[in-house]
Amino acid sequence: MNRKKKLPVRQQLFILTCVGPAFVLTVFFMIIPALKAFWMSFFNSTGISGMEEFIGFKNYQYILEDTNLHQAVINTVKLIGGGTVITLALALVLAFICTQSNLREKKFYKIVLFTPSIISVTVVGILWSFIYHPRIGILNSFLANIGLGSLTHSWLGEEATVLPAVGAVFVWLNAGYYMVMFAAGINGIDQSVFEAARIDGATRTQQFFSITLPLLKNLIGITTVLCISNILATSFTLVTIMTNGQPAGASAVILFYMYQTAFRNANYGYAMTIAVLTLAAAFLLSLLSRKLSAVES
Amino acid sequence: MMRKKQSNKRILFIRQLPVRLFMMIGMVIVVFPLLWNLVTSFKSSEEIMANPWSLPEKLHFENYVNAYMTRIWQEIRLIPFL
Repeated sequence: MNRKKKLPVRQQLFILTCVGPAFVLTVFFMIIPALKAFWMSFFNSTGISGMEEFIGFKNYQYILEDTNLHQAVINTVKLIGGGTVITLALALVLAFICTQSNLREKKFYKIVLFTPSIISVTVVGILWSFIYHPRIGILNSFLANIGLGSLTHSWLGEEATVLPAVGAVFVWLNAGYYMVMFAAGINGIDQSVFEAARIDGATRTQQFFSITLPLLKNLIGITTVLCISNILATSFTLVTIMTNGQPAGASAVILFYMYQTAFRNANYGYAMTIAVLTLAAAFLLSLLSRKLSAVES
Repeated sequence: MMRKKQSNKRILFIRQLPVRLFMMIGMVIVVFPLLWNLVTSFKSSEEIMANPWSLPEKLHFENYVNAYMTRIWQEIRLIPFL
């Protein structure tokens, strides 16, 4: 303890004034509400009237019986599983092409692919719900025009197609964003490694699998965590705007279900239980992916 | 010498073709929805319903005026910068 030299009082005061406001704001607007949410999960409360009834673990018991919640969890898991894998795989390939290929216009590709991520998620949701529209949408008429009329669906109205449709929008929105991250990672790799591989006669595909992938392992682990949390947040916005959980809860994701429980069904205590569950799940998932990427490297 | 250089160029072009094609398809998928959005914003409702692919017969700038007249913009317009 004595090894650390104590800072002069003036400097300590300066640090305190710098950190203090942020610390107070964090405690009041993040930590206390989180604890309050955890506390509320033991109550039967509407959130509107002052009436609160302590019911212990009944909310947590109800989780096991609530089939709507199960559906929402399954949908979320499907979106996270499919969305993360497809987005990151696509982003990796695109980043590799945009940095290592000898195409002259690769900078242009990079810029264009990044454009979707600067648009507001709300706008993207509205735009794509028009594209998926069964009558005036371009997707259906495109399929009909190239002779695949049998593939037309009312994309957001059928239980089988609604989740892939929402997931596709997420990929469209975020592939460019993660591509830029991976491109930065690939540019961080020493170019002489690629040159040596090229001299030894490695093809592009070999370079991708035996140089880029292993050297980006840490970055991939971090982006996986980011992508999972991004899907959790973005899927709520997209589902609220595009489908509203229709048809029959086939596109309800867990945060959407929580919002609905709290503010439409006025079952505030139970919603907080779902929030605690989501928090625990997100924590476990990020822990797991950190562990996995650590083991691999 | 000259011919060899040219044929090298051609080989390079052919070898790049699959990657370039892949990227071009990606470009279309990214850009087309945005472009469609822009073009459709100039069409009248009847035109949109009739054919989503058609170009606007007449540029309906009144769409933008109408959008600007909605309540949310009237509130935002109070911000002095606009």
